[in-house]
Amino acid sequence: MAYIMVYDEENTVNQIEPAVLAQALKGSSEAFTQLVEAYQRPVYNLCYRMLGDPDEAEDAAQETFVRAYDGMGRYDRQRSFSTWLLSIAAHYCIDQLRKRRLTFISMDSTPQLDPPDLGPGPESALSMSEEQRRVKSLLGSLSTQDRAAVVMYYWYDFSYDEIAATLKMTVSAVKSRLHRARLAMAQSWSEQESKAMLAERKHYESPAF
Amino acid sequence: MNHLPFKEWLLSEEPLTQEQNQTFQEHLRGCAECRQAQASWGEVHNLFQRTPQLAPVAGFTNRWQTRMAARRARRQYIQLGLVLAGGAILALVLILLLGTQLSMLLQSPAQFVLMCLAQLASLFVLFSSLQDYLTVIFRNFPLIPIVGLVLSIGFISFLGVLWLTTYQQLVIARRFAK
Repeated sequence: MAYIMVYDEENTVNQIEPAVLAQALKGSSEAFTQLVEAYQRPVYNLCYRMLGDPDEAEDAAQETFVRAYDGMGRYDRQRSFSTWLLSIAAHYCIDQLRKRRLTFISMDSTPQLDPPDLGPGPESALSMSEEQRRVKSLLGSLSTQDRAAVVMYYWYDFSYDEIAATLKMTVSAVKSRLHRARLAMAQSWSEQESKAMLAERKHYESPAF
Repeated sequence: MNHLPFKEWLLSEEPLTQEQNQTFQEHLRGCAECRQAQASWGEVHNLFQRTPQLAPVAGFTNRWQTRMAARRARRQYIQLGLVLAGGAILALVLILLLGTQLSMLLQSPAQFVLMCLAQLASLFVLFSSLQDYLTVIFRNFPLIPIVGLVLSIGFISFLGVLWLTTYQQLVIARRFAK
């Protein structure tokens, strides 16, 4: 029997039986709740990478499932359910970012909260938190569409075709956006490193040393 | 120095041919800018590779169910509000109509009674005309017996009820019990 695989952080696999999806398509709330249980992590992660704020990501992930539940009748069974679900999340986040831009609030001004559920001990959590902060900063330097393409490509292994279908653009546009995003992130990384080195040098040159 | 094909290549995830790779390596040896770009992109790529997916705070599904229940309650509240508003508008229209009738009655009772009688008479005329039309129709369809007509009307009514029930089931089927 074929299963729909959902991978989480530890690469453990949640198996979603096609029967569950079929039941959800028929309107079973219990079956849909199982889908929420299985897909909460990838949906939340996408929203967090897009929005950069845990509270907004939680709200966006919740809204994604509400929209998916309401739109189950429009789901095309030929398409992967996760791709469909993540495309709802991506579009919702893009809309939220547009609204945010209209209200002149930049990503830097959103509260710098620690990402939730970082797992093991304090040192490891600190290092992971620093990495998450760097990822957030790198993604924050991209346009919303570029950010969505990068997140789908690097965290969800979406193919160019899947990204193109999700973001409603051509495959060549996706490739071009990814290339531009990589260049921007490499430059951003380089600048961050230079700043960090300069700060470190200043620190050691200070009279206290 | 022209970096154009090399910057494309170092950021591309498509495999290079042997010849392209050789040219690229030669360029890298002599170009500090491209080496820097390659190193930076390598760091970013590694960072993405080791950054795990984040999970929401525990209890996400419960919060979602609560949200759905609240949304459903809000929808029902809005529907109830609409029904009440519709009822209020209808009642207002009826009150206005009755009010005008009542004012007419109070102003000139004789004229009002005459108007009511005229309306009643026109209703009788309408009913009589309808009867004539129906008689003509039934006479023109002698092949359909009266039992057939009754059965047809019954069947059409049944289809109507079936449609209403199905529509209701489709619209209200997915209900979340909190």
